[in-house]
Amino acid sequence: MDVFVRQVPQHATSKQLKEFFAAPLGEFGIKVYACEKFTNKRLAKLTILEDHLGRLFLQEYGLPQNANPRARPKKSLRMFTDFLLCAESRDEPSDLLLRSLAMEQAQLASKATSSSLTHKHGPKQDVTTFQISELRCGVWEYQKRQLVFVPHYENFTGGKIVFGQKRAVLLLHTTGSQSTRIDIDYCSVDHVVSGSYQDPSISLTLDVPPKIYKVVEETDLVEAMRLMGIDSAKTKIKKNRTTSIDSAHAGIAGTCLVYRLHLADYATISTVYELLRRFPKISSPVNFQTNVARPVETLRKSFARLNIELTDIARYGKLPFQVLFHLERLAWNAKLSPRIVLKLLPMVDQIVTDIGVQAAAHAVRSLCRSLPVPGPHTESRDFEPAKLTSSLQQYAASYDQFGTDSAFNLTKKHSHIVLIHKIIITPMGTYLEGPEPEVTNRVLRKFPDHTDNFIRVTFTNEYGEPVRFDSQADQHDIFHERFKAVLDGTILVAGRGFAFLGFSHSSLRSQNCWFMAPFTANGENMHAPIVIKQLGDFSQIFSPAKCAARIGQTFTDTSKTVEIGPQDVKVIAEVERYGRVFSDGVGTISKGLLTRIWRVYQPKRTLKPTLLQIRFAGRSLLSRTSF
Amino acid sequence: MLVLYADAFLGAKGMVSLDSRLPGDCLMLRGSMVKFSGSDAWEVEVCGAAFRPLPMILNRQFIKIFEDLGIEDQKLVELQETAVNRLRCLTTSNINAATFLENECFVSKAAQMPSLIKLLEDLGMDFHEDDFLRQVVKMAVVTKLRDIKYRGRIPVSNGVTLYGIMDETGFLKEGEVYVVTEQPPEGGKHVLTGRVVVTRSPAMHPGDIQVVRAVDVPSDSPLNALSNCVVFSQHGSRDLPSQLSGGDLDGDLYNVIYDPGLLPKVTYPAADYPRVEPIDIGRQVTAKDMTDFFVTFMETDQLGNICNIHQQLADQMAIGTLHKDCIKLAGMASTAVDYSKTGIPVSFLRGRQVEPKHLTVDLGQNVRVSEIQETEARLYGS
Repeated sequence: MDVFVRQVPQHATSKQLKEFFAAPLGEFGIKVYACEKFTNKRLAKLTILEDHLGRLFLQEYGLPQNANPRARPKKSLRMFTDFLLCAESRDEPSDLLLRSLAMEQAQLASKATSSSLTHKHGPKQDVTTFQISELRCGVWEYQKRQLVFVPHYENFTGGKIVFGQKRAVLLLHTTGSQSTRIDIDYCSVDHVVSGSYQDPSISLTLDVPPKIYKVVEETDLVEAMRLMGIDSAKTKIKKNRTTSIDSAHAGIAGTCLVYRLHLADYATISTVYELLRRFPKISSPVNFQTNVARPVETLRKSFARLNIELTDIARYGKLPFQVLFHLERLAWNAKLSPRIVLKLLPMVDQIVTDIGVQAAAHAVRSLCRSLPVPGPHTESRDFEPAKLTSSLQQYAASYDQFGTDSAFNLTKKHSHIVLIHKIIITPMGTYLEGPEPEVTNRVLRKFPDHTDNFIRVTFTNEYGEPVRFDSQADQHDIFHERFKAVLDGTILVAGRGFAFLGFSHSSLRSQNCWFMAPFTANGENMHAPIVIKQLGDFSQIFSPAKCAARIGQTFTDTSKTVEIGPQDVKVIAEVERYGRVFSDGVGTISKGLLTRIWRVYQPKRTLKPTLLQIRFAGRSLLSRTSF
Repeated sequence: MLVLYADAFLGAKGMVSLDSRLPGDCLMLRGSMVKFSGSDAWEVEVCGAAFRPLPMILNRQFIKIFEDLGIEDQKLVELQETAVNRLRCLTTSNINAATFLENECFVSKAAQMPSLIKLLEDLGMDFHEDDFLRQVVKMAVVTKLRDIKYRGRIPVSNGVTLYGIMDETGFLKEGEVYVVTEQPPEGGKHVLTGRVVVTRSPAMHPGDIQVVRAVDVPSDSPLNALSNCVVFSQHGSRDLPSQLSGGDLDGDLYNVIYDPGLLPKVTYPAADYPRVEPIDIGRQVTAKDMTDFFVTFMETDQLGNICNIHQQLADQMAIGTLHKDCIKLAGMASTAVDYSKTGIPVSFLRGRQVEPKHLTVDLGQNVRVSEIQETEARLYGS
């Protein structure tokens, strides 16, 4: 039987819980049981092999399922500082787990009888490769409070999965010489759900999309090389990193993070279950019966509908960008299905009207942060529109504009700080983050009312680290297809089309750049080429690297200090000897001007600096020593 | 003769230092600071200032070169021991811990952790009694220890990191520098004299560390008005900044060390890499050209790799960074550093100059300590 345990200390582990229950269960002669603590939840599940012993335990230590919340069991169980509450679970225990416990019981019994005959087995070689017949990629949803798997991509070519030390590698057969390889790092797996003999499926719920490669069949390549007279010993078979399994997968790869495998041989499910249960690097599989439900509409269509609602001025497109951005974020970052986001729109609109824009943005952002990953550990009502809208209301009501943690307050207090939205481009997905406070730069200061139209775009790997050179795989597609297409195209966020503007020297190294969406300022239509033209004349710089760096100079974090007249600026002669510039990049400033700058630049500092690193752009009197 | 061009537009970047001889409101720029023309802004934007002398912290690259220049292992080990002992003392009292967090852990400073610990001191309470505070301090110390162990980040108390500028007065002779520091809030200027080491990160070539003479200037010199900077001479056949890992004066920070134990007896001539002109496409640059460069740069930037290989190779070779392959790698690193400005990646310019076997050397866990040079083993060995 399954016992549902509540009020478990948040950070307790399954192992700690198991040890904790050894004594109270031992009172009833229960030696074989399993314990599973739900990650980041105050819940755990205790599976006891023999029902009658389990009931005896519950009589002493447990409560009925629908007990009064203030009721207490006869005997209390105190772990650390918390009193655990045990009740019989509504769910049937998993048949696989019971079999596994039964086996453990049998082993224990045989050990007890033949303790004298301790013969050690050699290390048993685990089977780690399993044939699969289907791969589905989709999301968890709740239908009538039941957790169901909704596939948005299906692949029936079959293949195999290999469970390695750090990652599972999924190899799909593909017709032709290429096959697809999907690498799922265990650290990216949020949880694993295993099916049953009737439904021999393994569902891996990931935090980030996996790495996908196209692998050229080794034999063909080796053969080809032999024909060309290349010594095959020296050549290495390269994988080509790619962005999706195929074109159908491409559209959903960034937002569908549940990979469900159907094992070709139903009998292997127990072996997989056993294997994963013992793997320390992956969270223990949860044996949970889940049905596959057809999607109500394609993901593409849901996103299109959301897009219309958020873009059309006559609908919700009228809402301020800061709010729309967070709504888009819910769907893009795969926190909620776009269909559910659509249901939240009326409430968000009402919050904007009743309380204000900042409160609405704060509410949606907080909701995004608090949403759990759907799965067997999560309660269905957390995703019910009624619960979501009431959470929104609560967050909006608790918004404190003048709170110390309010980013809005931060920008009001410091004129050199602005809030900047961010877009993260990964090989497989496009995600929205922020807004985060940043030091302003010349471009942003020039358009103080349009800082929302400037956005920072970062190119990273799925985990957020830069996409680095990989000697094992060719990443041409990632850079020249995926990233290049983004840089040369437009990213549509809430009806705004963001296009490439420029990057600074340091941002180049950290792989991020600025994009902007067109807007109207002083009756003029501003878009990237016009903004650049207004920043300066770069037409005489014929080097792309240098030109980008010069434009990027205007994006450097700077603090505005003082304005000066053209008569105050002079260009003086360089100190040059033997073809070397001794004065490279250094000039001088008078005491008068420096004192003016001191008054506005960090005036609270006690030491007045006599050296300043400056950016200056202005109309000036150019003086030049002529010879 | 001075020719004035009125109403020109320009955009400039670089350092400006106070010249007390200039009258009124005056900004004197140099041609090398003017980066583009045609801007309509009118303001001086500040992105950094010499508010205080910054600490001098070694790294593995510096340590390796110092070792190759004949600095005693014992000296480096002593510096490391001093640093470790200092960290050990930090956890003993509220005041020590608060000072440490305030000066060296900016996150905790922003979270007002130091003032909280000081407040506890005033109330007569020990921060150790609180689990959270104890762990914060522990975490900060462990981070610093890891920095020392894995990155060789050992502070040199007789050293300082400063902005570099040129001597506008022409007083300093070749091989001389003027180093002046002023630590707020106490104030009071301190001028270094005698032989000092000057260098700059990233140092990879043995000639990136040079020894010069620090001198004081006459009392009527305008240089007396400056603080927290290292002033380089404008005389000689080659400017010193460019000898230090290709530095310039538009905001580069230089390290000055005045510890006699770290003064090498020999130094090597600085590398002199030919100036690389940026790729010229012969026409106006379009947005597409720039995005092409952005993508190609992401794909082919090898700076990190080159530095790692250099480090590994230098550790293996008996003569360390003086080995010809290390010298080549230092040159490649210089190209890689400039890649973001020139658009010329390492491979196109120099090809594969390093033996392939070196590129595949995996020092990760396979290397035996005996293969590493003595000091390295003593500093980083377990």
